[in-house]
Amino acid sequence: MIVLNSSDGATFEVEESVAVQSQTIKHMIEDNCADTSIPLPNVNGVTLARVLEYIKKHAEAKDDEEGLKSFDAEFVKVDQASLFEIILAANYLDIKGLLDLTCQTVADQIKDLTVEEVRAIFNIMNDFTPEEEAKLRNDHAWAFE
Amino acid sequence: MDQSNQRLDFFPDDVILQILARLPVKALTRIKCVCKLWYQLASGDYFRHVHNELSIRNPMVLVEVTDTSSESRSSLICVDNLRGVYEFSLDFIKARVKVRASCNGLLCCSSIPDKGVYYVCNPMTREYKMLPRSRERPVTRFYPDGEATLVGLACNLLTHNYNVVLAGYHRPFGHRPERTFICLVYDSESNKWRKFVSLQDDHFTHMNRNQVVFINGSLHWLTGSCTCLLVLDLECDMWRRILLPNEVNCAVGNRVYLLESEGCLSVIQISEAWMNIWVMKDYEREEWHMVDKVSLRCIRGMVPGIFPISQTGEYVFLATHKQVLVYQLKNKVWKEMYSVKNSSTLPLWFSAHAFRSTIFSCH
Repeated sequence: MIVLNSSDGATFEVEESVAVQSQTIKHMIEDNCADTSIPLPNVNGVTLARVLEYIKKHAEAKDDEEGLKSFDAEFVKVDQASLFEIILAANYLDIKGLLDLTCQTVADQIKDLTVEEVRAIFNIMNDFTPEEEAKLRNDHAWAFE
Repeated sequence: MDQSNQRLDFFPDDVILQILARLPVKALTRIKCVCKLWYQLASGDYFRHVHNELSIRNPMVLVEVTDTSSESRSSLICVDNLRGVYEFSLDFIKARVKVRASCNGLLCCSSIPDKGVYYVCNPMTREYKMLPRSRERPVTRFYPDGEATLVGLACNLLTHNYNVVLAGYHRPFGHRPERTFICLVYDSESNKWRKFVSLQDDHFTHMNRNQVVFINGSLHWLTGSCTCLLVLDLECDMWRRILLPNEVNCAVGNRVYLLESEGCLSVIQISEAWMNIWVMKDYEREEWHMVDKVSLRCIRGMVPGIFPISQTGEYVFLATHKQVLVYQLKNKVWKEMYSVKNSSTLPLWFSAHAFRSTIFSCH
């Protein structure tokens, strides 16, 4: 069993065979940095619990394609802030399937939005000049319809 | 700290790139304009590579739906296992065209009114290019009807180049047709056509409907005689043949189709009750393996008019006269993805192509 410590001090136990779905954890184990427990300063307790839920399900139900599909669909039905936390955790922990699932979910959520709406969600400043922006919209007018 | 009010200041660049790469092309074109960083992330070779790897997982079928009762232009339907069915048009080309070949997200189209005029386009990004005329005189010497017998499009994702191939028998003046086989190859890097001539033993009069596959630097066609594949190696302009699996015979009632399966050549054989799927896993040794034998019992009535168009290791898209179906190999389920509403259209299989959405540029 491997012990994981979240950024806010929560402790989680998980089987090594399940934990190595995270390439980051796998490398830490291989490099022998995991004798007592593995500190994960970039992931809080709530998010780490959800991530562990994902990798446990994917380890135990590996061959049940239909079951995993419906699990994944339910798994991403969370509020946006939580989803973003899970993406950051999946990226930091290098869990390919979870990153794939969550990035696809975000892509699906934003695909019909306007540029302004996307900026609002990601809290991004528009650094194009009005002329540059006008040119972009003109060059790709069909995409802005 | 209140979790739900937390606003994230940033995502790492590689996460943004992964999200952008999963957007449909139209949304990507718009959403990359959010800021300079996103615009940069969505350009460049690494992004193209990630986008391409993702699109390989999602093969589609492109069908031209023609309403023969009215004079209106035909529309294109794209059937996608992930997103369903959507309609789009090639009107950005501003000419009436027919799709002749499809490869890695690009289409090769020929002009309907102007014989000999060809276009290459990416229907997702709406870029297109009219190719220069090949050096043949306006009335071409292709036999039997002046139209190239074989048409192929080869898009090399590594070098970002593409080739268009037109080939056919040569019709010399006043004599019976010889075995002379003319091949015209357009190269996007030089923007020129080159021509070479060879001799062919088999006389074949047509390529099997839209059945051309680009793999390992070569174009492969299944010809009407169905005994072998005709292969053009584009690196050295050499023709050769690849034999079909021994067990595949062309007796009446057995139909054979050439497709791609996850980067390998695949041949699908349809008899009254079975669909056999062969894949050439070892291209060097030219060895075929039967990877699946599908019972056609539950679609028995449709068998005479069913044509496989594209596939992955997990599912096969097929077209009939009026429908596009998908068959899931693992759980053996047939599903109708699309059905023509209008009764007076040409058969869908007539103009169905394997397709996938890429951002490959035709310039």
